[in-house]
Amino acid sequence: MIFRKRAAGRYSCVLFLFAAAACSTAPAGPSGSSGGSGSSASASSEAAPGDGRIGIESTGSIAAPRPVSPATNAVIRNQDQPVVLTVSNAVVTKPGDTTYTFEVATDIGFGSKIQTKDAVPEGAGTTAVRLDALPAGRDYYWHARAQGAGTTGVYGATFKFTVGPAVTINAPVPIAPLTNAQTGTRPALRVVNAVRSGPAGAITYRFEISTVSSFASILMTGTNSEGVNETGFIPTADLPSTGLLFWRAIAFDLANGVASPPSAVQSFSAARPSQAETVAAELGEPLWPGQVPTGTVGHATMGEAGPFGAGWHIQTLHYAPANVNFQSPDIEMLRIFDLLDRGFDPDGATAWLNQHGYPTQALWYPPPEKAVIGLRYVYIAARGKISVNGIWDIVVRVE
Amino acid sequence: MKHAIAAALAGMALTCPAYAQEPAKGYIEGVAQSTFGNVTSQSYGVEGGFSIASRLQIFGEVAHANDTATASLATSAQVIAGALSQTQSNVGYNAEQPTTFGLGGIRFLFPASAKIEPYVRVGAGVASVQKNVTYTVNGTDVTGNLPQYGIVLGTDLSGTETKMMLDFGGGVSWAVWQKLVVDLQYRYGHVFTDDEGINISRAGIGIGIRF
Repeated sequence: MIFRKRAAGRYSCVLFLFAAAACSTAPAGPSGSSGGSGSSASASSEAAPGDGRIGIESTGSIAAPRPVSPATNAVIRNQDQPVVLTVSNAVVTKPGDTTYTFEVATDIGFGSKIQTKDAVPEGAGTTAVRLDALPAGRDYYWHARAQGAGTTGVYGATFKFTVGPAVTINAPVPIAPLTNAQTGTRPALRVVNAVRSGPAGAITYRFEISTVSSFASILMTGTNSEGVNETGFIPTADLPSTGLLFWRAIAFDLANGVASPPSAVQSFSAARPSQAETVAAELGEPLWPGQVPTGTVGHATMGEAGPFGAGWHIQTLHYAPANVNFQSPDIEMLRIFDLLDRGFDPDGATAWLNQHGYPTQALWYPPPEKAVIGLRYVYIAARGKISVNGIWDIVVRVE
Repeated sequence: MKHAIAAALAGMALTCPAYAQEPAKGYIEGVAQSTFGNVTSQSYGVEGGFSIASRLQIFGEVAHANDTATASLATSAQVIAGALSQTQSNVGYNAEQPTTFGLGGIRFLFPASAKIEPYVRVGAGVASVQKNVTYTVNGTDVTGNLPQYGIVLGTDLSGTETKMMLDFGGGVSWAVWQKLVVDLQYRYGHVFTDDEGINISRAGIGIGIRF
């Protein structure tokens, strides 16, 4: 009996040894009969399920992540780089430590991979990765796969996107007003059109005016489409006439999402509009679109309508000798008056105009005979023949 | 694995001394059972044994349970089916876990009448657990082509595990006519598979002979 008991114990030990020796975990092989043999075969080419695991836990199953953005065939402006690839998270039966691999190639077969982002941690719902800068003007293909729970999944669907051409725009160069300029309260801000490279689209310019050179706060902005050779902007409201002002311009190619650097910052002071500037504004014309004369106003007065003249308000007058109606004052008359207002003498005013891009036929008839500046249809007459700090009237010529 | 089991049983048969005392030298029977666990299925097999002492027998059993699928197997299979249905229409799946096992152990017979022989038993062995999960798209089995659909099955849904199994149970063997016996039985086993393991309850009947 003792022998038998001992024998029985020995048989039990033999059984346990057989059991322990026979235990194993075998993933379905490439020629497995059923139940996912094919999928496991595919996985084994990368990392067979169960690799490196010691029978504590089975490996998980993975459904590939689905690409979300950029949508397939999306066109991304070069300026919008870096591109961010986003996938909806893979379905993993044992979630928790899933990471992703993103591949970007220039061919749909991924023979020419140009970027691979590996071990990207899983996000909440979606997983995204930011690519390094890609060369502009090319098509790219991308896909992603997940790995986790001991299994490396297969790559999901392949999406294509295009990075648009490279467009660069240089900073516009300011024309006027330049630093330390004195202007009216609505000066024309002008820049030379920006130099650009690449297939740029239509260019627009944004002009910014600020009271601080850092442009931390913007006083006024205006946008204009590009002009011929140069582009300008006239403020739509009066600028403050106290303190220094700063302006700059930035060129934009909105179609390609490209912006230039800001132009060099220019400072200027805006004075209250002179008498001539006020009337010129009513005419809708810049008094000094180019060169601005020096000097400060206060040396002349516009004569009101009455016995001495027709006045300086905008009106239509009649020149009898030629039976012509004309607008009074015109911009030439206003410029002459503005120069007188700045302290120029009549001869000096006409000379300045002719020398600075404002040609005129005006002729000064000095006292003691007349003290008038003759224009085509009118005289600008110094009341009482006082031409220094005097009152100037518009008188329609009769001869 | 089957060879290992066969060798174990053969070894036991050849090395065990004969037991010349009543109630019987041995027995052999075929069994058919219902299995209960996460799913209800069927099991069938062969069991035999011989006495090594008074009321003590060594037994061996080889059996097959059609489906021992666990809750996690069903859940994981459904998760993957859900993922597949995001890109395909009319997706179907089937998750089964057939298990073949061999056990050896000791059976203790309680004193009773000549015809009624209650017993309890405890045994150990190995079980081969096959994870048989299949997927269909529009009625076509695509299990072998799942990578084309972006899916890789891990060992939680594919492959075969061969793991140790412990089993105990009891029953009543009733000699219905001469050497013919009917064995009403219950077995409870646990297979030490990866993850959660498998519990297999079996209740059924065996028909065989004593010798």
